[in-house]
Amino acid sequence: MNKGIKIFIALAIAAFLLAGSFTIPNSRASSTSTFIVGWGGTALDNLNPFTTYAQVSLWILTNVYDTLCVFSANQTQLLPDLAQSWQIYPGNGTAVVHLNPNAKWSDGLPVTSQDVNYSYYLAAQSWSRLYPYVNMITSISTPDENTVIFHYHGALFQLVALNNVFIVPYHIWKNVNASTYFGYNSTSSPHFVGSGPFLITNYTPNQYVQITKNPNYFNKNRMPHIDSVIFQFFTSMTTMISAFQAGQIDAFGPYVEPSQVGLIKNDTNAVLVTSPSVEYFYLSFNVYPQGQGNPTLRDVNVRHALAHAIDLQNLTQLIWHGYAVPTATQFPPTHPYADPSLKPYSYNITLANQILDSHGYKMGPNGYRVSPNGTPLKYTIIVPSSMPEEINAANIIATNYWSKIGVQTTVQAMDTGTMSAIIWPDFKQDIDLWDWLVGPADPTILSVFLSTQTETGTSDSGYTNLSYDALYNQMVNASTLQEVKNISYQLQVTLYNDLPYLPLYCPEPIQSYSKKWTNISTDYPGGPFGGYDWRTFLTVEPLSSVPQGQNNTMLYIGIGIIVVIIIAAVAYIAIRGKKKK
Amino acid sequence: MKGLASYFTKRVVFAVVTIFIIISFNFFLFRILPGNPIELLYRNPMLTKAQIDALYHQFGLDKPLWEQFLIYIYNSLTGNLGISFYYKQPVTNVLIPALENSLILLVPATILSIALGIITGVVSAWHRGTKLDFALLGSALAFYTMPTFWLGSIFIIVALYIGGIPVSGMYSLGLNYTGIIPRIMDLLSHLMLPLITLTLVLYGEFTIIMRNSLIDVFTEDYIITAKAKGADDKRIIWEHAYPNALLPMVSIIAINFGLVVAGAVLTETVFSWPGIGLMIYDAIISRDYPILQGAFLIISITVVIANLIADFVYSYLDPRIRYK
Repeated sequence: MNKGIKIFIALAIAAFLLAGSFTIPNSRASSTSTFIVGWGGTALDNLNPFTTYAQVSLWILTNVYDTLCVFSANQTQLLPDLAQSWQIYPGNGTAVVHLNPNAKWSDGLPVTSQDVNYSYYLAAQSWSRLYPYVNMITSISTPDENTVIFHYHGALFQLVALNNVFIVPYHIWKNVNASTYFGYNSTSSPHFVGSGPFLITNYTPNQYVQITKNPNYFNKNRMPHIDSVIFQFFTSMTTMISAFQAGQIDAFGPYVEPSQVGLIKNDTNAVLVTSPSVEYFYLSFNVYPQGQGNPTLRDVNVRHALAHAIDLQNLTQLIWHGYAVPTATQFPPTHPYADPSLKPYSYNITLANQILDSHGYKMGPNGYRVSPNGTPLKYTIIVPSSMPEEINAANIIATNYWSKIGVQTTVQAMDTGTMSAIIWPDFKQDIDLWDWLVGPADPTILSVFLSTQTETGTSDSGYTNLSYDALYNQMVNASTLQEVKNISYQLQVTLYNDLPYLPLYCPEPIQSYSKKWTNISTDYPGGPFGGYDWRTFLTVEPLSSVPQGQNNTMLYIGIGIIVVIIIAAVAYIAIRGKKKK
Repeated sequence: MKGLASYFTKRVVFAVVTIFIIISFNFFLFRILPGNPIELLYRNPMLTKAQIDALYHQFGLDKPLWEQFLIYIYNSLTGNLGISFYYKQPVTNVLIPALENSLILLVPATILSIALGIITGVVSAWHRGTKLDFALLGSALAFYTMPTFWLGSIFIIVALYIGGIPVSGMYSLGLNYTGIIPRIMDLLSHLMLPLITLTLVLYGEFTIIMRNSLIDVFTEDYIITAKAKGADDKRIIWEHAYPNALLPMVSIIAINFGLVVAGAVLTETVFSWPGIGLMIYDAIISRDYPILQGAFLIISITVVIANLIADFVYSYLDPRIRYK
């Protein structure tokens, strides 16, 4: 092949691609009802409602399966989902649930009490994530196709059992190994069967999941206004925001850091939203009796002094710039089970110094205190390196606050794996700064402080209090919700006084969506794109028929030019390199 | 001929032994990392001790380490890379699509960086000591030392300023393509930024190696002879100097395969390119041992095979090698 032919072929290919680039239809402009949401949180693990732990998986599943009931935005009222009505008899621990007779699976079969029974059977297996939500159920009976009767003990049933278990089709799931089933099978037909407002129609690992409107959805009042939703996964928050600014996605969640808010505020096409929190950050003191951290932290007086030495209001503002509120409990202040009587420890350096002085923690010659038996008040705060704001918070606590009461503190940022290895099982840390996500409707986060949680790798403080354990069990077995609430308040007071954790603040999730969309509510805990709100994709709709595509002409011209340059360069090397002597 | 066969046999045996050592090393490498997958993947206050024990059992982490190792070796040798802790799917099902996506980025980036490195290296060497040499060498060094994450971020900022350029992912989601050409063009538009980033990060090394190698060759007697015979500059470069200077490049290209993947980890993260680099990043965070083992096994085998091919090519280009 001579030189001229090679160049001709190279140019022909380049011209072909260049020509092709100008003929790309702007397909998204004609497909205005696909809403693309970017997800920067923990990636999707699987689509099996019984084994997934990822919030985004649960969010997707919320849209494709039904639970018996769902919670209202204020988390105080159960609303119908698959259940049309229900009666609860707390006296004898019975709940009678009547299913919506119109409910159908996407393959046309009716949803029956057998499906409900089987779903709760799967949920109760030891391998199931949902086991703790149903372990208070003693038996289930199905007198007819549309009625399910639950027998249970404990009023927690009303908070966790009716709204957490996704009802799956028995005729599909009886044929799979539910403990290992992925939840979506691209090789079978149909790929997916559900009863919710959407169906899973596409799943590409590590990239995206697409759900498409279920035309046979039984609840016409909740019929979505859009055709489909795509959940696109991102590892980098910065890249996700860039994709949003570039118009590649329509919204993002579950949150961005406050330092990134400026990027969104400057975008005239973006709506910035905040919502009630579902998370709290805390300082956990190592109080484990057999722990290897600084033993002075086991003295509750030291912990009280440390709490009084932090200006929580100021710290919260410094770190979160108004996007978080200080908290005194294990709940965000808007949570229905947060004890409103508890307020954050007052900022009082004088009081903090007095507490330490009066309990024998004398100031040493170097300006740092030592305990009566000579142990210096020298601590290390470990904090996840993936949380730059919290590293900043730990440094402020160390240098601006605790140094004023003679406490020497260093901060070590590390990955969560290293943190876990330091904490469990030997409790080698002094203090860790970390966070918990809190279920928006129930008080079960208080189980973190059970004595048994030190061995499960849950309790990072090593708090051991048999009275607390007994009180928690009382709450689990309480017969009324009011009783549950009262006991949860007592538990919070116990923790407030014993202070194994010093709760810091609850960040409000910062999310954003494009102004091209409307009917998005922000009152649900976690926000519209935080993975909790079941209503988001039922209500969202395009604001107008404004084309959503982009003008890509410049882009494709650029690509064309690059292709020409690449091919010319390769051709040049090939020709010169093989030139015969 | 006998020497050549003996040489090949030795190289293949060494490659097989190397791969076996890598398989063993992979097992322990990730278990040295502090933290275990159960604590990281399932930080849930509602989990009971029995459920956590069930998870350890499900992942085989309740067995003694030596038993886990034997199972791993047996599975690896039989082509079974295990089940991902996180994705709950066979590792091959997760890794193969990611590997394909990576190749779409890595192959053109490698080819382009080699081509660009050779061209700039040759030009720089031929004009050594001039401003052009300084500019080309300076640029190569600058890109070689530039953090991938930073360079990628700069391109994203520029892309946002220009507008209309995809900054993440591999395809535009929600599009209905009207044919294969629009789909390819959409892929190319998404490929543009990561490809340019990775190419620029990689080409500098090739430029430096090519330039230095050529400068050495230019001092050889046969080059002086060619000049004395009146050969023109292009002929001296491309027919006499370039083929001989190419030898060190063969080794560098083979060794560089591992570095290319390392560069891809950052590039894929910046641009959310769903390749094997991004998957390794996620797997390290979640301590997904099977994914990490599988990914590093594939990468290691690729590097070993690349080196094996380089050995063969080298011995073909320079017969002295095979008889040593």
